[in-house]
Amino acid sequence: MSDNLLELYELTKVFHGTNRVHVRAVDGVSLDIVEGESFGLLGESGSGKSTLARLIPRLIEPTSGEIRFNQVDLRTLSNRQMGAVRKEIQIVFQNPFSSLNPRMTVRQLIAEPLIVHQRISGPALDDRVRRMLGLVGLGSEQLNRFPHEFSGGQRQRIGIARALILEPRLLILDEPTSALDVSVQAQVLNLLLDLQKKLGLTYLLISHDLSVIRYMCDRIALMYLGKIVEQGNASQIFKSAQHPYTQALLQDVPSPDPDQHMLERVILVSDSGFNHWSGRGCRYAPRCSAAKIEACSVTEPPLIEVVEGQSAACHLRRPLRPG
Amino acid sequence: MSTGAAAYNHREPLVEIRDLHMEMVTFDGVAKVLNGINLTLFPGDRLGLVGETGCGKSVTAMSIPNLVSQPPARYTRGEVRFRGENVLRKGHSELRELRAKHIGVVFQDPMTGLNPVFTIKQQMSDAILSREDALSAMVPFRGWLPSGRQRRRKAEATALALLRRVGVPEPERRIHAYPHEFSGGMRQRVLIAMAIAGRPDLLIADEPTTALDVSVQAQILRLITELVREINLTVLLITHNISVVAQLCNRVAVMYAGNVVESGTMRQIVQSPKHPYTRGLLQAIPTEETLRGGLSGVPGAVPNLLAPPSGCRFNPRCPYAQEKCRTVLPPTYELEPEHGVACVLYEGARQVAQEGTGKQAVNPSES
Repeated sequence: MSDNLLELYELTKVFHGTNRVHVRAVDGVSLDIVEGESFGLLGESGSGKSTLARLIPRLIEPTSGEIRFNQVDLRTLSNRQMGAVRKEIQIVFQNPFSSLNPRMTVRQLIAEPLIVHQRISGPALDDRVRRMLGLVGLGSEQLNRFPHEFSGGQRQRIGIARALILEPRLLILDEPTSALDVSVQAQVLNLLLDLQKKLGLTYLLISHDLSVIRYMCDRIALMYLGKIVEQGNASQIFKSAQHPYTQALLQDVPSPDPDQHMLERVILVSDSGFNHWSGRGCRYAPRCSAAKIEACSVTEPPLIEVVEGQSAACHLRRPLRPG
Repeated sequence: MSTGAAAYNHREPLVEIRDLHMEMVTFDGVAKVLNGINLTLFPGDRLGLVGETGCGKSVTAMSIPNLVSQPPARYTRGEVRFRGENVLRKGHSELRELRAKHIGVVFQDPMTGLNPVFTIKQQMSDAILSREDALSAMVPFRGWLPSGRQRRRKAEATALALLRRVGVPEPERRIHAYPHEFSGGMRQRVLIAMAIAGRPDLLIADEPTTALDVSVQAQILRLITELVREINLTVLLITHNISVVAQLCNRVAVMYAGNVVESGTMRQIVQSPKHPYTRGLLQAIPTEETLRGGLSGVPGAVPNLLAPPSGCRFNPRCPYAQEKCRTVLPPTYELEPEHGVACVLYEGARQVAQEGTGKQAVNPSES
């Protein structure tokens, strides 16, 4: 397992609220990301995918578990050491309208990470900013403009430039296109593919949009209430999903073809599982349409390999390799 | 369906937008937002209005109940007819009656569409009572009026029935809750309930599922489909997601920078799109067959409406742009019945005089 760039092991984050409400936003997530691949993380809002994104560079502190980046356990590092690692792990945030400081120019925005991390200045800095701007498809005449002068797609390009200027190895993309129109989304997705090819980047792409994940990713994981319920090869999962949640989610994606009507099929029963799951058994059981067995309400199903290259956390699936 | 003016005939269009031009006065100048919109909605139609952010789809739809505030908006030409009457000429109380009786609107954002400091019960019954007030102002006094408390109770009962109808679980308990206690999907259900409270003829849904997860989106679309069948609604759905339109609508109009560039039945638009913009838009959606890197999309960006390009507004991004595209705004050509395209590439086809949707126009002078 030496080619894994990132390994998460039993990563957990519990948020403590008032009145002894404890939210296990990320609940024992384990996954590996291989250098150079695009890994997709799918889930509904509230499933904990953005929390997971912020846990990896320790922007929020995990409650327990391990984060191994490049064979180093990040949780053992000091703040100073962590700063150096963060150069290698960068995040592109979801909302290009609120993630850029409105009072900074494009030049300042893109240069900021370099000034913080590498303390370069002068012509060398300017040169790198210009090169980066060209790489994401913006012209250097736009250097002195402010974020409000740009459209959503252009702002997201600035966000990508900010993340890439440090030459990271892992780029975490948290819903990079969900605020954009489809035509602009296509431009941004193609830019990301292009950059990956040029710079040999590894992507962790987080989205609730299956069509984006299908287009971009080699391997995917589906999160439900803080836990991974299915994981494996992307095209395999889209073809034959093993977990009932994945199956339901795939059916609910509307198709642009009017002959493929999805509205006749009813699978998911309600839009939030939080109110229903008692904390025991399978967390998807209250919404699950598949035949239930006793184990569903008693024990939590582990994530096991059920088909070659595809794991699911469901009592109804038999393990590929028993024992 | 409610009966209004006696002269109204159901075979006539419910909504007719003719050559509508609108400008918005801003600090930076005058934006030419709508550039000659033609749209027709017949009773029972489910029309999807598709386009990118800023193409004018929301203001076109909101012109039907005359909800676009003037200023900053300024209608410079054209008319919007609802059941044969030009709504842009109506006065305040007439408009209030029209909205109360005939038009329901579901606004885009379920997070901001509800008032956070009132319970669902309070705001739903307020809306129901306000609607009754708008209607009773038009009816002569009949000798007996229920007391305020009686009316309030009745409105609350109506609210409860509506919540049950739109599928809010445990409505008796949930009606006392505040909006923040509801999930996005549930809030959207409340807004839909309020929009259909008056059994309107026309439901305008402005991006009803944009803020929602796919599974919730599917539920909301199912709910709207059921309601459409149940109370015989005519629907105008505004969205940038053509897949949502495909699931709900029978007709589509594609808008670009203040013009309807193509319109037709769902099948015509999705299976044989003709306008270069419509084609680009459809190719931008990743599907099962799309290979990695094979997504093309529409190059360039939407024009600045303060200084829109002359001629066809799509010409700077169009791969087929010719010289005359830069000078003349193309008229709408009818390729097949109902299928209209505003592009010079189809010059050979029959030109539709003033008909954006391609449907056979009813002579406006008859109404």
